[in-house]
Amino acid sequence: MKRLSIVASAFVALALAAPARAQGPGSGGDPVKGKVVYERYCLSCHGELGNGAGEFAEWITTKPRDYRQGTFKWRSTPSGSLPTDADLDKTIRDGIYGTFMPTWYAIGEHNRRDVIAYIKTFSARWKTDKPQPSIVIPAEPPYSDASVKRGRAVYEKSNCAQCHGQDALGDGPSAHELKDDWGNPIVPYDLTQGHIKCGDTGSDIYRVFITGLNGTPMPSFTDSISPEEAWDLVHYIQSLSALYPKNYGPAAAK
Amino acid sequence: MTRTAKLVTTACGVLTTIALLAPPRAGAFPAFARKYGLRCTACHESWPKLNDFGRAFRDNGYQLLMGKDDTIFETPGYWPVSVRITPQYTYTQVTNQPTDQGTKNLGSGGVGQVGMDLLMGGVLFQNVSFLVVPTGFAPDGAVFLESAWVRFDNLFGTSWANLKLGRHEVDLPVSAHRPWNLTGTPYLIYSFHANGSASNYDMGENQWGVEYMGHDRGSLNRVAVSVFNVQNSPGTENFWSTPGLYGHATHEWTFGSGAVSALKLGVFGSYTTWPTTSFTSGGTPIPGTGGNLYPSEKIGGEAQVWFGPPATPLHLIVVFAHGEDDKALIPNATQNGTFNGGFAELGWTITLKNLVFFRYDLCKNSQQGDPTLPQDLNDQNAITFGWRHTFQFSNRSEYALVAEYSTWQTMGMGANGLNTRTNQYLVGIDFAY
Repeated sequence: MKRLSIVASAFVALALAAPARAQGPGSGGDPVKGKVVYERYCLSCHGELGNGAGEFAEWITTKPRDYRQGTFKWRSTPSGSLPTDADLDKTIRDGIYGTFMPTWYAIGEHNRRDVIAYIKTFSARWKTDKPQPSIVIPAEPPYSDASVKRGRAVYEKSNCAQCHGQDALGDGPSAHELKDDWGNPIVPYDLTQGHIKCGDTGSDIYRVFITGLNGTPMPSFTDSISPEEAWDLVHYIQSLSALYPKNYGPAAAK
Repeated sequence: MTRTAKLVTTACGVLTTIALLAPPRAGAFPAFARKYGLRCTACHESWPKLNDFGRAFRDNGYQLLMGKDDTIFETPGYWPVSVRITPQYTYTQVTNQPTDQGTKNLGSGGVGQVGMDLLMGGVLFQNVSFLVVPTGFAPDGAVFLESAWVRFDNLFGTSWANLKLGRHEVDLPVSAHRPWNLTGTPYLIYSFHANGSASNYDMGENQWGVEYMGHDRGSLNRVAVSVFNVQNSPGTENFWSTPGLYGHATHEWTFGSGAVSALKLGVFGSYTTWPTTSFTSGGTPIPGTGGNLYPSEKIGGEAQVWFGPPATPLHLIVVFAHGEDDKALIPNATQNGTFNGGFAELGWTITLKNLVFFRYDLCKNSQQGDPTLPQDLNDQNAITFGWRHTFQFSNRSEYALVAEYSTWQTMGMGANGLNTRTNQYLVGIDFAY
């Protein structure tokens, strides 16, 4: 029993022999260790140079992110800003639905933090810029038929159908002409699938309207729609498939 | 130094040189890698042992659940088939063997006699997965079906409801089909029974039956229960003629920082039966006629600790178990036979391309069924260690140099009651495509 206690004590001591706790999700990683994490999990798509040209990249249609420009689609920060570490952690943790970017939840916080530190070494922008503060997402109003109806009006007013189509199937008139910032053809998302690439909660969808998706033709609507309209639009999108979580409050969000 | 030892040394030297000069680059089911574009290292701590991501992928039914799993999203040319072969030089020496010329040490070795695993698996449709593994193909031509199952995943929309039907490996603490070592020394505790027991049940051998499995996100909490018919018993042919039950539950803690990156604790147990009578034909039991079933039991625990950076961990695995075989299974027994055993394994992924590992297996009878026998009769222990250097890995294939040594001692089972020791040396190329 005494031996067992010694072993248990030693183990607890080792587990607690931790460096100072990082500030938040994704922060405080070690880029040297992150390079190994990157080579283990990321390199086949994002490439050795972080240019999105890994050995698998040419076989897939949604091209892997080129990290060298410091341009990221999924952010909580305003259009044009770098993402926060928590944003990057969310993308890595939850993956991007409908693409070959899987959920890396299972690899653990430790690995994710280190690889985020390494990803930042690909662009000098991380040395000169800082992420702007995350946008403030107002409390979600209740999901209702009236809200859905107003959301449809916002969809039309904002000309969403030009790319996403009248029925939001991703087949609008411009759908086949779109390219991302790197010149790769890009297809507007079919919003009826029941999943949104960056997350299915109401706040996830709201965030996309306000921040836009940097590097893609999806703009920020922060100057053209009000927060109320943005929530109505969220509810309209959520009405398109029974799979969307509706009125999914922030407390329940992943 | 014997001539053979010199040859082994020379071969090791040559292959080591090749390893050092070859372009650097690791995998087990490359068809998955080809489908999802992930390197072998994404799922394997060091091939073939799975890492957390690989376990989650397996537990999800070979799915990433990101909308790209269904076969409809695969290119028509995709074929979910992989092969794994290990051309190797193996030398095996066994001590204290009875021969007409007296008690001798016997040795044999050579290149060849290797078999092949043909791995076919993946998803049939979203949340319906399968695995078929014919194995063998060695020069004797024997091929048998190691795995053949279909699994219904995420029933009722929850990862806690998965049902597998067919021949499958039970959810062991460490897979018997994914050991780091390639020598013939298995995890001894999986197949160990009380001395003299007629039961041939081996936890590491795949069984025909049904498995319920459930897990949470990331498979940090897992539970699996298999109900099956024990293979290779005289009653095997009747599906429930020799029933068995196995269960395993684990919880894993991951730490955001510190010297210990993860800790997993688990419990497992099995209750299996074995016939003691059967009809015979020419003295050979007739399949399906086994009767008078008696039980064998094992119950144990596991602890796994990952030290250091989780991407290149030092992985310590400790598995221990207590077992008991009914006295009816043991000749001349007046009491049940009991035993204790387990193994401790240490694997260090030094780099993504280099792994060194060490394992110590120990199984000891704690009570002989026949109390007149020495208590240590048929006790076993083994030491296995080796190095694996992966030359190249991609999202298509992998090949690696393996160099191993194992020594396995069995007490009192050689000629004239002497102990026997099996020494095995192995150098080979392990590849999968």
